[in-house]
Amino acid sequence: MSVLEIKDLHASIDDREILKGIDLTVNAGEVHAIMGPNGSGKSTLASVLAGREDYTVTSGSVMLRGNDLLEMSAEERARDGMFLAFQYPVEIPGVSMANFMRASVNAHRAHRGQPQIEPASFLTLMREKMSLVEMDPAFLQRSVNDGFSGGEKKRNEIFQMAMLDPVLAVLDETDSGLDIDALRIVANGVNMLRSKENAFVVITHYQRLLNYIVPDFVHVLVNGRIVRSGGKELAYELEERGYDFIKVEA
Amino acid sequence: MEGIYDLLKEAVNKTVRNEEFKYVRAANLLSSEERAAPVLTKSGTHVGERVVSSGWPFENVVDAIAGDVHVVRVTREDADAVIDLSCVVDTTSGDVVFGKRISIVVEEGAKAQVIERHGVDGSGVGLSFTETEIVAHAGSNVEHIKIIDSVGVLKHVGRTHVDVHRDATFTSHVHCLNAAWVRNDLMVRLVESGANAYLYGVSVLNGEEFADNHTAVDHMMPHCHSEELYKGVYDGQSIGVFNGKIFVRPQAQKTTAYQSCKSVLVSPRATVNAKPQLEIWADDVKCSHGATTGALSEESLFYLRSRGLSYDDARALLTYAHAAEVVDHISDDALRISLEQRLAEKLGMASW
Repeated sequence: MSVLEIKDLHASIDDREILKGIDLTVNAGEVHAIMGPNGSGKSTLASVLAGREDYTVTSGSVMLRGNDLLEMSAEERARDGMFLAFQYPVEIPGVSMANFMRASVNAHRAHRGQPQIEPASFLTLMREKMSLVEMDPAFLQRSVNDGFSGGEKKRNEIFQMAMLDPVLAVLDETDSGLDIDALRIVANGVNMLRSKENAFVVITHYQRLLNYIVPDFVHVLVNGRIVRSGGKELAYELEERGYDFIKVEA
Repeated sequence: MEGIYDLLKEAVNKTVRNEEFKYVRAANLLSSEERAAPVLTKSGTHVGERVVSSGWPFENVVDAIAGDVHVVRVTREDADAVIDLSCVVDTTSGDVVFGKRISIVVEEGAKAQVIERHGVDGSGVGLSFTETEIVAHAGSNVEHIKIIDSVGVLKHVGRTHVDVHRDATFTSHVHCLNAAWVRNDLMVRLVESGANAYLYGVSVLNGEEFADNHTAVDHMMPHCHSEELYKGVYDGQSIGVFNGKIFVRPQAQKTTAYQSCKSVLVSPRATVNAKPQLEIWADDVKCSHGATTGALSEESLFYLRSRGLSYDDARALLTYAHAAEVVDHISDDALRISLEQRLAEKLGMASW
């Protein structure tokens, strides 16, 4: 059974069709990169998978481990093992990272029929995952993303991913706005979390990230459709020739 | 008993077509149901002089019920005085009308914390009228915490008047957590240079609760500083009112006065009426005001839900964060923690 199976997915916003028939199968242990020019529908795909209500799915299906994803609310998808690393993580003053993560971890545990996490275990878990993205434990007392730099926000996304251990992680342009050092830390965090049991969909505009997070498959999204798929070499080809050659071919 | 109700009816009439009581349906104080005659609790017979008579409609009512003024005097030698004034009324035997007049004088250089708790225990309705006058003499530091958190049905009308003298600091906290109907009037006069006032307020209402906070800060002399932060969370069909006046008199140059009122409407049927009201007659001052009223941030809600939190848990976290900013200003650790707990309970924060 695949982790993610998207069949002929069509989605629109405000009566404008953005996704025009996406087919994608992601199996456990795989990393799929989705590249494409601006406006191709990359972020729409991430939003639809996460369950943003602004978008309407007009036809097609999405299965997460055999379950109908489109029937689930945003929180149900998260509890069932989906994680979206946001492109622009929102700042939430007054909500501490600790309270937020404890609520989140416990929501996942309750869904799995597990008891609430013990305070001591929770603290240990937090510290362990913080070191994965080289974040100072002092961040636990701060409000979520409040006053964080761009790099810190992205590292915070990966930290949360590490805490929640999803079966499918969708990274929405995680590399945007990052310098080389932050990129290295984020990529390293993701690589440490890769396993035979989970899968990643890495949405990116630039090939650079894929030097660090080496994909098994690369798909090119143009005008709401996947027009070409290939191995990691496809990313180099795009880097060299730009998106235009794909658009011409498509 | 009829005497009190006549005075109350007179008071209620004075609120009609009175701009200061625009959103107040004071008729709520006059019960239309057939109820057993309420017990009148009266402290004494002597009516004390007020520092300033304000034209407050409920003056006569308070005088009639309260009688005596409960006087507290804090001297410099009373290190870290904590005055706990509890106005919790027992209504198990029937409805109660309750009144209290409190006068607190904090002498030069002294420090005091005054806690006023208001509540009702029992199945009956408690109607309470309180008037508190505080004089903070030169160099003193006074913290006044008014907590309206009732188990039973409480309708409360309260007035607090404060005079802050040279280089003294007055901090006010008004928490409206559980009460059917509340109207608070807070007047702070900065009567000498160097005086400071910090006004904090938080209202967390649901159901059909009503809380109206009318405040006024009067910068009468130069070089005084005031800051005001009122926040609210409104669910159900609750109604919140805020009117914050700031007066800066012609001689009050170098005044710094800041005011902010932020309300969150959780339910589409909740209402907030917020009105900053600045009257500035001096020209070398720094003043600001801001009032925002809105729903919870959709983006924040989605972010929390994308991490597995239900809408209710996300709402609880966000509204708690909103209200807790005000509670955070309470200096006493034990009190702050207990108030945070009550806040968390009312907002449905699970004990994760």
